[in-house]
Amino acid sequence: MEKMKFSVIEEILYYEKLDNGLEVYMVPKRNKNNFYVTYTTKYGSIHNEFIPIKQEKYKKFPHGIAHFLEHKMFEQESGIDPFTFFSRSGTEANAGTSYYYTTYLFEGSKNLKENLEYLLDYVASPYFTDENVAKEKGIIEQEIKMYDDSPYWVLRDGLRANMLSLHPLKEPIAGTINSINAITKQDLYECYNSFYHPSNMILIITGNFDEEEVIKIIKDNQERKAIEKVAPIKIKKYDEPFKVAKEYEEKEMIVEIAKVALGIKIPIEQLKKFEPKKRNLYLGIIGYVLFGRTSLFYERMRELELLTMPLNVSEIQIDNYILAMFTAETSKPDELIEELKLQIKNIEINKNDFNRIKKIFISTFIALFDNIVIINDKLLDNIVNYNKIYFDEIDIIKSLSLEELNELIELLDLSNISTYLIKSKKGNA
Amino acid sequence: MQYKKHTIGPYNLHLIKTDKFKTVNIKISFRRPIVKEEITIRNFLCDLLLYSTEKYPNNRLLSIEAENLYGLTIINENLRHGNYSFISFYLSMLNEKYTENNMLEKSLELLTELIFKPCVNNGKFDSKAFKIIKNSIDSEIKSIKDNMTKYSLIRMLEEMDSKSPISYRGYGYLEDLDKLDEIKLYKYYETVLKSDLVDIFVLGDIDFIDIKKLITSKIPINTIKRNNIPIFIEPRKIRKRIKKAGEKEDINQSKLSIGCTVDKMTTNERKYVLSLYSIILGGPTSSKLFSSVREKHSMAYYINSQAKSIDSCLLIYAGIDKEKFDKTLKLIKIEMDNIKRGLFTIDEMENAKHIAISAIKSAEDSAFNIISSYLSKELINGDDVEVKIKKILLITKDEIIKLAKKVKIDTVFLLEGEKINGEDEI
Repeated sequence: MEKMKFSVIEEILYYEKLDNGLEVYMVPKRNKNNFYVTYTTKYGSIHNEFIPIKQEKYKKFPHGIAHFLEHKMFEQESGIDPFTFFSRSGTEANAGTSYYYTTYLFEGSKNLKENLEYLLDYVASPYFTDENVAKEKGIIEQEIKMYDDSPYWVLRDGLRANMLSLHPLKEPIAGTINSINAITKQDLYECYNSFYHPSNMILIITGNFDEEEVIKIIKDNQERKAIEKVAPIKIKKYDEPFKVAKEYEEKEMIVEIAKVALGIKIPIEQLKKFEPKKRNLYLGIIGYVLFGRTSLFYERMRELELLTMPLNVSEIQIDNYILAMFTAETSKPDELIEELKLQIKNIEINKNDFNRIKKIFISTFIALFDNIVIINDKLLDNIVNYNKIYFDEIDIIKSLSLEELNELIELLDLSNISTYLIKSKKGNA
Repeated sequence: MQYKKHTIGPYNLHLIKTDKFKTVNIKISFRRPIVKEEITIRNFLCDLLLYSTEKYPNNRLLSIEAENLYGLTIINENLRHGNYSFISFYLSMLNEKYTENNMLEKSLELLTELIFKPCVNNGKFDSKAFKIIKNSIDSEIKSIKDNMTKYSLIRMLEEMDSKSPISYRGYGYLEDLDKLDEIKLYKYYETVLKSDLVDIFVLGDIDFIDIKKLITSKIPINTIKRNNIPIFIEPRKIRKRIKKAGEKEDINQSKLSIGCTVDKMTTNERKYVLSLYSIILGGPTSSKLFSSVREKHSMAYYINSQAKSIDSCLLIYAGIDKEKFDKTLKLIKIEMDNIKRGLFTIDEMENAKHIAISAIKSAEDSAFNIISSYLSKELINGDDVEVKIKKILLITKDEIIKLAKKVKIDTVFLLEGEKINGEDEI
């Protein structure tokens, strides 16, 4: 077991890669009551075309299948469902599917050993039948309808769909009512067998526990399972074109105040001289200076009554692009879109702003170690997005320079934009 | 964790010493009996104070100062608990050992400046700030339908009892917003400082004596007030027949909301038994409603119940297809009836206890939640963590059955989706 220390803050990470390929990360925090355990497969909504294990040809699966599979892991042959098992010790359990991965988790303060073993066991025991697959379709149909009634959900899904031409990130995580209705028991087993192998999985434990005890529990559990070695699964690559698929779209929904989304598809090829973490920190600084709470832009937008809250900012990376997405509520959508487009044409960052933002990036990083859920998320984010843990994130932030940032700004191409608008359709009330 | 309460007179000071966190957290909370017509003005005031101060006359300058102080965060809350309306300001900052000396004092200064030295000229709040906040409150009020599940619950509560605080809209009302101006708001602000009850909490790795000195030197509140009305809302009179109401909207999924009254609870029932009942009925994923409506009948993605013990009621809500309305309601009644008749296992009850206890323990891992739980101790005479756990463990099946008999469906509301079922728009 390796022991590594995060710089500046006194926090320690233990790491071990087991013989079967499972990677285990542990950050003990003995002054907390709870422990938080996440068990993740690097399989998410975008992995829907690949060569299934023990097959030879690429096969395309219905959109939403990773999420459907996540739901179905809660069906066990024993008849006892995982939620009930965990609730016996007051442990909260859940699962979630994102674009890149699927996570099964629990949080509690009792019975760590039993719960951990059970997590490793139930996620290793798929039980799909025609009946239980049919039953799940009704539930997921209601889940999709719930998302379809949420304006921000529709906005983000709509924008992503318009920014991309080929990449499956354009599809909603849960799929559509049509796509999920095409899913079969056989499909689920093929996806499960391809991606739920320990060598494709990560176990992260944060909170109050003893690392020596826990690693032993995990090893004993994994040794009991006969797991054959497999080669990595080949996943289809997409030659996603530079241009956004659609520059503008609008839709009417029952909202009183319009919602706007603007997305920039940023090619990262020309930024490859920058280390990815540094590059993303610089992009974060740019976003903050342009649109954050202390930006002149936000102050002016509030005075003009174009904004009442700062923009919501998110970004996702696919092979050769970063998709930067901004959403907002506004009563003057056309004017706001024009202002946003203008704002990204003219990026200037002064030394005061730059240094102040570095300072708050560092404080934010230190403060996140107060929360075992956020530590866990941060580790997962590091592993999935960068394939490494940044123990020296604070030092990296300190090393950022305005000169280098300006160099990056010179190379940055922000010309490729798509916007999505949700307009008000008056209701009956 | 050590706790000390000082009854200063004009306010209560609660000090909580713990080395669990890298942050120091301060909450200042103002409360008074709720009046429907005051919700909007309180909301306005709460946001306006966070917008600027005399020294930092706009939000940008104020936010830059907060960032200079190592990115401290200040958030505000405007909430109702029972018969009271609360305005709170919550500051979270890194412990000085990660930043530099004197940061606690400087950060506290910023917080007090924001509350006690607002941007005011000639007895009225700054007009520019007023206009900006008015616009944002207007948006908040108008965005009520962005979350149809919440909207359905609010409409249900209005149908249940439009006169009771349980049905008041948290963001306020447009007609009250239109009546406000910079002078009225300032006058109201003065009454808040004079007559609201105040509690101040400080949590972190702190020194009790130093922090008390610091707080008393910085907080200029000096009128002594008295608590006058109880926080609990009396249960509604039981209806002879369930009230049914609804609205239609152009949405994909119908949102069902049910309001139940809970009649004359004992203290123990209010503090503990009702929440256990709610966990068994519609709590997290192992509940009766989840098993029946979702897992067995595949009719919903979410179905939950929520205990509102201070309000003497219980809420149930689900997203369904409108054709399934009668069947869903029937299944809900069956499950409520089952608990009344004792048709639940000791396992189900014990699981519910573990879930309730686990929530109490989890709260201890968050500074924000620890402060909230000390506030609730102050308000409802809440027990300490150990006592809470002990009392939960002692609850019997009979006690749950007895409580279940006091839970009566009062109002059923359906926000009906008008789209054709199965339509796939994507």
